[in-house]
Parts: sequence; C-alpha cells; structure tokens
Amino acid sequence: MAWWDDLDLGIKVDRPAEAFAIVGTPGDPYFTIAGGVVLLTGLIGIITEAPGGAQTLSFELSPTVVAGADVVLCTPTNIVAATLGDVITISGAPGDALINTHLASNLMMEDAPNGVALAPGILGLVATAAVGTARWVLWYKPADTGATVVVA
Amino acid sequence: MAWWDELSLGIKVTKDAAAIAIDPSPGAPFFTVAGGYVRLTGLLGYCTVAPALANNCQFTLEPDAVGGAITVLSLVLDINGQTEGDLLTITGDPGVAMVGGHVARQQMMAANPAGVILSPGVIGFIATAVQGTYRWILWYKPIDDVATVTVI
Repeated sequence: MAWWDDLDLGIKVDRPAEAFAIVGTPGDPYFTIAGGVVLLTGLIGIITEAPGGAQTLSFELSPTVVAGADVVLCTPTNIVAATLGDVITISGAPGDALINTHLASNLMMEDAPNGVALAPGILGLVATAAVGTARWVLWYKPADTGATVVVA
Repeated sequence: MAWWDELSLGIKVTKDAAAIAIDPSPGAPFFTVAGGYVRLTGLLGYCTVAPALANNCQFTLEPDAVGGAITVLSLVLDINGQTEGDLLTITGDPGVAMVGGHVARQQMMAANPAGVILSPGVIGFIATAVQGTYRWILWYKPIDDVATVTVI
C-alpha cells in the first residue's frame, strides 16, 4: 500500500452506471474484497435514471470464508422518490436504512467516520425491482497489506 | 513523529494469530504503549479459529505509572458464535461491550472516532476460556512525539 492510499477517504473505485436488477440476498455482486480486511470509508450511488416506481435497496456482504454469514451494511430503503442526480449512501451503522430521498446531497459515513471493517467477500446490492439506474463510487483503505476492492 | 503518522488512522501494528488463553485482569499482554501518550484509533480482531464454547473477553489498560489504576477499554463480550473470518472490535466507549457476533463487518470506533487516549502501559486481553484464535490490527497516533505502541 502506498502512503497516499491513506489520504482522505483512501482508494476510490468507480462502478459505471447500470440498471438495477431484481436480486435477493446477498445481492447483485457489485464489488469484490480480496486479499485481506479493508476499511470501507465511503459508498455513494448517483441516480442516472429515476426509478419511477417502488424500488427497495440495501447492501450486504457475503464473506468468502465458507463459514461466514451474509451480513447487511444497512437496512432496506425504498428509493421511489429519487430522480436524476440524487445521491444514495449509507451511514455506516448496519441498523440504519440506506439513505436516500429526493436529495442531491448526503452526509458521508456519519456513523462510522473511521470506516467499516469488511472481511474478504462480495459486496452485493439487493434490489426488489428492475427500475432505475445508478452509478456508484466506493472508497476504502486496506487494513491488511495487499487487500483490495474492485468492481465485480 | 513523522507527518505521515497523522494520516488516516495513524500507525498500524499487527499481532499474529494466536490462540486465546485464560487470563484474568489485567489480561494477557497484547501491546505495549511506551514513551508517552497515544490515541488509539482502531482495534480489530480477525477470527482464524472459531471459539466453540463461551469465552468472555475484554480489553484493559494497565498503566506503567505507580499508583495507576487498571482501566477497561470495553465491557465484556462472550465471543462464542464467531466463526473464521468474523471480526471483533471495540466502540471506543469503555462502558460498551466489545462488538462481535457472527459478522464479517464492523464499524470502526463508532463511539470515538477521534481515538481513545492511552497512557504508557500494557494493553491486555482478558479471557475466561481457551477458546478461539484471532489475529489483531491496532492503529494509533502519538500524542507525545516519541510515543509508540508495539506488539508484545
């Protein structure tokens, strides 16, 4: 890990705009964590096409370890009110809902400013409808040397 | 202290995986704080062998100063139920139990993102059973210029 990987929110990973697909737990694979534990320091979605109808989203981690249990990063939220340019994010507290209303601004990881530690696995997006499109930006810092997050 | 020691969570110290041993207060010596005061900004355990029975665990600080009182860094948590790949941490609030469960995701120092001030001494790990194996990652920032934390 280079020293600059520790600056600000760390390393940025972009996932291009893509339509939501209906995927149950543990979700549509969005990002892969490999090589060790990372600290998730930011996760935002930017709506590129309004859902126009009910669309309930949440994020989960499906650990690579066989004995691991799927765990939520947030509880589900219906983003029906979101329109082009609105921002989706998480607070960092797994008991909090995904954050989104008809808002183009949002707080970043307000409940976990030091990040959320994640073991290797797949970060998935659980979605209940095939409506809406978003692009995503994730930031992380390796906790273990060599740990990475890439788009799945 | 170099300027880069102030980046992100600060300086990382790793402790190799070791089986948990029975140790009453002030616990098995895990890390030494020396040379001055530090801010503990993160403390994360990664389960490599699951505990199979109850094991009540807790972190403490035993100060070097004569007359110093042993203080807890968290309240007790039974780590039974964690499996390989699960994460263990503290919130930073000494009145809150260590945070575990069958989860591969944890908020980092959720109650105290600026860090917990520690005087020189020994960070110890109390355990009530020979159950479970963990590796550890600790992050700190020196308050006094020459303060360090090292693994024992």
